[in-house]
Amino acid sequence: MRSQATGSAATRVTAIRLVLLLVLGVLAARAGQLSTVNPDAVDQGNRQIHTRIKIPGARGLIVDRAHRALAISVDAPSVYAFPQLVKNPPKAAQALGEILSIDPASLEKRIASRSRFTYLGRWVEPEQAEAIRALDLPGIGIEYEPRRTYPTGSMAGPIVGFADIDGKGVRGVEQMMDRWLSAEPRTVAVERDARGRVLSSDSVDPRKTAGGDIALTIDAGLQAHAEALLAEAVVESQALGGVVVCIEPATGDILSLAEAPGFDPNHFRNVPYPETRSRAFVDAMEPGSTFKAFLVAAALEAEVIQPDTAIDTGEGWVRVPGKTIRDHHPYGVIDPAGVLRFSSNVGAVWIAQRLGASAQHASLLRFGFSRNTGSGFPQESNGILRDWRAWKPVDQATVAFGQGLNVTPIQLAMAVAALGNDGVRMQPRLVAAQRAPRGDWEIQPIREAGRAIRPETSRTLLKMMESVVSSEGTGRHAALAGVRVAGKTGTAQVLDQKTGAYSQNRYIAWFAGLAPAENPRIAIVVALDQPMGKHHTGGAVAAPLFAKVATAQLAHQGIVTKPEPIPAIKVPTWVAVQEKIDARKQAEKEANLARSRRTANQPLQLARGESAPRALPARRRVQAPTPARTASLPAVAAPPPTRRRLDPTVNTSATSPVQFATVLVPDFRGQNLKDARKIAGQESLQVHIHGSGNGRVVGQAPAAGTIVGGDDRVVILSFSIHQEEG
Amino acid sequence: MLVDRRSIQNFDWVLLGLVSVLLLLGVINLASAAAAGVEGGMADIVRRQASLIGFGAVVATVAAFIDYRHMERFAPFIFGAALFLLALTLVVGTVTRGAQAWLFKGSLQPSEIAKIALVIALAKYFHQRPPQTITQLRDLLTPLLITALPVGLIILQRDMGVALLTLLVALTYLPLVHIPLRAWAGVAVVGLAGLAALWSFGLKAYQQSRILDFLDPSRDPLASGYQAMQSRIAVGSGGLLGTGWQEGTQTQLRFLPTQHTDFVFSVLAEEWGFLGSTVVLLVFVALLLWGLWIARNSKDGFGAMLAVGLVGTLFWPAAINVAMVLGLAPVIGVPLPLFSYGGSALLSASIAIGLLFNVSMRRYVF
Repeated sequence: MRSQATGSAATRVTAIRLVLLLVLGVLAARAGQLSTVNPDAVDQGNRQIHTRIKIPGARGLIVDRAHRALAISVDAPSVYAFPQLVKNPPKAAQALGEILSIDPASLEKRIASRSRFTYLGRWVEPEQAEAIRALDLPGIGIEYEPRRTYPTGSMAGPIVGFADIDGKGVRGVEQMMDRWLSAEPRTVAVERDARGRVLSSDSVDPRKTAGGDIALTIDAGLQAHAEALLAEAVVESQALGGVVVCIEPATGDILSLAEAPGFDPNHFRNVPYPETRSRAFVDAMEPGSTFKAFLVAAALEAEVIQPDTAIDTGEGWVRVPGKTIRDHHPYGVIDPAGVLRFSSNVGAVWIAQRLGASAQHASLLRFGFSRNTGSGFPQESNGILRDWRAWKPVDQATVAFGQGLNVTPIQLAMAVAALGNDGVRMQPRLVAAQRAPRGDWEIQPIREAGRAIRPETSRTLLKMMESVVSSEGTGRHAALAGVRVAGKTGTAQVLDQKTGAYSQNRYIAWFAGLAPAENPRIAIVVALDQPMGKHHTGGAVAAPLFAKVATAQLAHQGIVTKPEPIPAIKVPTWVAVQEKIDARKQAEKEANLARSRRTANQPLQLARGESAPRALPARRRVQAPTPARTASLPAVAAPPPTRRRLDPTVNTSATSPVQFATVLVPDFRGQNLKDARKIAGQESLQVHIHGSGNGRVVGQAPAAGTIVGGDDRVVILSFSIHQEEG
Repeated sequence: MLVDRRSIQNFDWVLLGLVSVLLLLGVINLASAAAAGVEGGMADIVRRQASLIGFGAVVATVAAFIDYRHMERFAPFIFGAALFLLALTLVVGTVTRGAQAWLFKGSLQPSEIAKIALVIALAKYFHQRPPQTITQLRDLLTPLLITALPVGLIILQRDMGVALLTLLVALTYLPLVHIPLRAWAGVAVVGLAGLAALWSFGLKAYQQSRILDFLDPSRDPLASGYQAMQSRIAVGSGGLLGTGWQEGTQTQLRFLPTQHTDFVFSVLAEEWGFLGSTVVLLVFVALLLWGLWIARNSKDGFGAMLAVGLVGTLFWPAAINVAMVLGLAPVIGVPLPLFSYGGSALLSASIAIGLLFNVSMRRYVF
């Protein structure tokens, strides 16, 4: 049995042995072939392990002057896919879509793409990233890339600006300093495993690939304070917006720059792009009477006037070819300080004419108008100031009091700051220091932009501007307790874009000032856009805001005023009433309108107390000139009586028994005659009725909120009678 | 069932040595494959493989010491029991990777045991009807029937890889029969027709796709060809001397699919290079040749036939697995005996090795 089995089987087992050896020999040969004659394999293997992904570099920091963070970059998770490695795209898209709240179909399309690497979601929430990580899907990964955030939210939003999702600065300092802040996108060499997970990346020093840092001159604390005050003022005055610029005169540092309405750069996508502009740099508007300061400065510099030059403003009007320039009141003969104090247009024209258009224009150029400040801030406006050779006489006159040209708040602020810097205009400094990646902070230079006026001139001018803030000046609400303030108010009419004419009820209220006047440490420009509240003038709405802002800014510099700004002195003076002239003009215009509808020829005149030195109706076209006042300064002295006629249609109401020194004129609009009389009685106001007295009050003069006193306690009311009759 | 003293004296140290070397190399290689974080990491998988080897040693010992001549007597029962388990799998089995091939919650794959049972059954048949007496195709009908029973059941389980292997194990006996060449030509024609029919009706789409991918690896580099491509990259990256233990990027970054089971040889090739693969292949060759030596020196026909079949159960999976890893065969889930991680394969290998010991030890016993 055995011999039979083995003997015959032996040769056959050899056959099996041969088959076996042959097969294994082939396998060994194949192994040898693949191992040695297969040069692509290593490359192929490396290719699928090593890949490069591009990560935007981390933008540098933006900090305030005390190095408090205004803009930082944090690592935010982003979801990416290596499409080739995703095993089941529809399923993966479904799962990811649920977590990311994205339509799975669109995700699937991206996963199915031919690209080697694609983002599925940028800057997702950490919880979403965690959930995706937990899914452990092949080919899907989480990478952290820098995301810009603004820890202080809307504070200084328009100044700081923002960077878009790809880390490119597109507004504000982010845009201005984009090259400095931005880092080259990092191309990171990564090793990934079969599931697309990044195993390691080059150990890159974060500072090596981050952008440079920037410290602003802004002080976050003062900035926040200024913004709060501005917001309060905007609400109170029912303005559309506003700007507060605080400059350190000696350096040109922008210490704070509040703008309303602001925006939160963290949510820039929710804000229309134009609304994210910095109004202080981009918006050019008429400076109004603040410009008289520069006119007087130019005239003093050119020595065409002296501080004691007597300027005859006559009856309060002057005719230039093409236009009659008026003051709110006739101020008679005043000195240059008076021109500023009362904001006399006629006086300004008087000075401008002595100065000459060429010199006037040249001086304005030296103050930096018509060119941007050189701050480098994106989209900074040059303002508009035509060359003097193109001026007509009327242009020269209007430029004298700030009409017919545009300036930006920052231009105005730098010009005002120059007055407080011995006449040397500085370039605005927004970036205090820069730090290169891995470098040290380097202080950025302070740059002079040129001399505007001589030191003596600036000192003389500041003295004059102090009188603006005196109790008789238009800017008295800007006064500070214990600190001398120099300033100038302005109330610029807004040019109506549709009609091309100046609006009668829309104004920009300005105040430009410096404190302390003897050695200015802070220059502040306040602008409120179209205040619609009880007040709208620079003296009434901008000056108080100046006082509040200046109190905080000075306190920060160790100059302490008493807790509150000096309360406005409510003395019935010419100047007190003058504050509300613009509104009065408007009301009178309405009254005129009403009258003209009723009877075209009846002139409107006011009955006055005999001693009341009162303004003349603004719309009066023809008036016999009266002899110029020759009374000596100061101009508080009563002006001469003006000729007046009594309008037979005007009724005079009885005065109430109790008389206060001054009263605030209430808003009569909408009242009927009976109620209007009652209200007027409570306030000891005389009522003059224009028209029949039927219907409701549609116009009043002076405007509601005006402070009146003494013999000025008269209010004219016009009624809607003609409408009811019709 | 007492063990003869001579059996102990004739203990096959060569076989033990070869098997031990393979197992040792396998564990070392597996440790690296598992280090890449597969199923609980290196320590865990090495510990589990070690305990499986321990269990396999016990199984092999039992298989070695029960005199194989008793098995000839019990062959029909063993074969019947294996068929029963296969049938049972169809009823209550667990479906894993498309195949309903597992019992006891996936811990036992009866088809692995069925291979051994088939070898025992065929050995008994060829003992009674020595292969050299088989001269006509029709003489093969009975062994074909014996083979068809388990293979048919495994096909029903949709485990094509194992079905193919089981068939190949049976084919190990073919070189022994005396059938003229022209008869084989007829077989080839019938076989090709059968393959065509199988392709059209018997194979699932993914199986067809695997074969197409094998024929043209660039057809779909992202799907099933991915495994073959990654394996080829791994072997190529290894070069002559390999990247070093735990240094293979294909392995450690888990580009290799099922690297601790089916593609464990790729790990070897990448980290130990052509040298390592050759050494392991040579050890395999030595083991298989030693198995045939055992067959030749077996004291009876049943032992010889048993040993030949057992060599087949070790040879075919090894050849197919390595061919698959090297891109010479389609990717069918066949582990490398004694090398891959996994219980059932190791169990059947243990039984096979134990039975080889059994035959070897009793070569001088009468």
